[in-house]
Amino acid sequence: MKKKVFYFLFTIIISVLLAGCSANNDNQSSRTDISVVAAEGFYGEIVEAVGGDLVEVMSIIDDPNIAPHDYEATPSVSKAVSKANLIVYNGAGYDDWMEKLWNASSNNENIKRIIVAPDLMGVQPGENVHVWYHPETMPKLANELAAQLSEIMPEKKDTFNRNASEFISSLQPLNTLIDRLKQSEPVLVDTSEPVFDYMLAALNFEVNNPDFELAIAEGTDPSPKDLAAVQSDIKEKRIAFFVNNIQSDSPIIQNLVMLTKENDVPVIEVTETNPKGKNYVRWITDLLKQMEKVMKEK
Amino acid sequence: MFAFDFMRQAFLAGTIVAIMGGFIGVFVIARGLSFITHTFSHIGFSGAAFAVFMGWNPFNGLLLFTTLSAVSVGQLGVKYFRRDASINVILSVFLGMGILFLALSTNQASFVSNILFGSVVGIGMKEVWKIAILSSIVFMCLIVGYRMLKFDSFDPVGAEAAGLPVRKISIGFLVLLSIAVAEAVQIVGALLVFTLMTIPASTARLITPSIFKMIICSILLSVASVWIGLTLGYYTDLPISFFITSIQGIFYISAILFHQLSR
Repeated sequence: MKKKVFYFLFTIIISVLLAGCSANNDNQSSRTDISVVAAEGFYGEIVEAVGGDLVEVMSIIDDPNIAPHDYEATPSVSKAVSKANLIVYNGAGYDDWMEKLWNASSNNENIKRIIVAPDLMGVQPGENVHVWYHPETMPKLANELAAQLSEIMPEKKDTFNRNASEFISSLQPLNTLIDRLKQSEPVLVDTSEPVFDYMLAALNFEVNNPDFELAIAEGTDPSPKDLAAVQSDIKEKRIAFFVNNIQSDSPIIQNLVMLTKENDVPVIEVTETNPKGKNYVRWITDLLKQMEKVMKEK
Repeated sequence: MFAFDFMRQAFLAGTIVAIMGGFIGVFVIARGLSFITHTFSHIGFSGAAFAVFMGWNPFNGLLLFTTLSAVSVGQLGVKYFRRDASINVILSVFLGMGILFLALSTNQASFVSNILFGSVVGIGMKEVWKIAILSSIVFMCLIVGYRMLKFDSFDPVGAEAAGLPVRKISIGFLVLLSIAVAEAVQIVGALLVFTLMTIPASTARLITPSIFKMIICSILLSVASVWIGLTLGYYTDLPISFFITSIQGIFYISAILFHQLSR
């Protein structure tokens, strides 16, 4: 009987080996395009804008239901990274599986990398990683992309540079909105999590509950004192609005949102990554319009 | 499939971890420590939070906390029946400390500690070497201490009566296990380490009473699940850990049925 078990295992192992050796002909598509893998959809979008037809982009996480920091890479993603000319990811701990996939590729000196948070925005691990909400990030990324893509395909340098400046000028309406919304004096707000803080800072809003938002983001309980402070901010209308990340949910936040309704404190609903069907400009514009409406009613 | 280096490295590292997990797992199961392999990765998280608070490399925090907790569990409960309680106490205390350091630190530790957990399809050649060296050390320690460990794990009363240094064996084994878990988790991820260090050995225990055969069986089952899991994961493009864990589950359930039928 024991022999049977051993034979069973032996057969399995051999068949796996055979399957592995025989089915090995992945058709290599004969394309001359530059292949780029972006960890998040909102970065992939900028790659498409700058690269145009010359670039084939694969965005790994393009679904608001998947949190990039909880993601487990599948073999096809690893395959795509190992064949890419350039990869773009946020870094600073947000999506470090990309770095691991890059490391796993033996020819990785041929795969260029743009790590947005540390390389372009100087954000180190442990600092706020949500740099895509910083108004300066995407223009910097567009220029960096143009530079890197030009190194891969020098003859198309002018095209990439033109596309990058076209993309940057397409952000103009957004910048106008940002200038209009910018507060002359710092205005206090509370937030549920630090996802939107770079934009808030750019608009001269001051987050009044930094310890609270960090505790929620870490999944730990905020201290009673911090929670009481947020509640009194709402009850005494000390804050202009409450920023709620609707992509994550906790009973503490639900109760606070109820409290804002009872006290007529407006809530700005934000998401960590772009909602389905909204591109970057549209997504940020809608958020800022939401904010503009709230500030006008004041 | 083997045309891609990441798949070759996944097979290499996966096989090495499977062999190590299958071997050490037999003792983990016999000593009633399966819960602690799971505990170590949680404690590692707390250690990372502590490291972020201190401004260290998160891996040093992970190693410090897991080793410290291994020694504490060993000190608190050498006796089999007290071990479970010791693990609970240590896990709670260390997790509580983790939450404290998360609160004290102004940095976002949860993102930092993501770096600590590996992914099967993201293993580089450097990691393969690292896991190979680590596994050989674990293997050598197990072989050197094989007689004593076997005696103490499968007949604790007899071992104590024979005057074996049971406390030293217990602490030594826990420290070895904590280092093995801490390193392996970094390379293949927490779920797979836990699975490979517990289920194949439990299955093997149902198949054979002989300890040597148990080890061989456990290693074979463990390696088989990794190979099938990687192959299925490659062709279906679903997460590899899902396949490995469910194959292990199927092995275990079939072994139970087999065990019941043969009686």
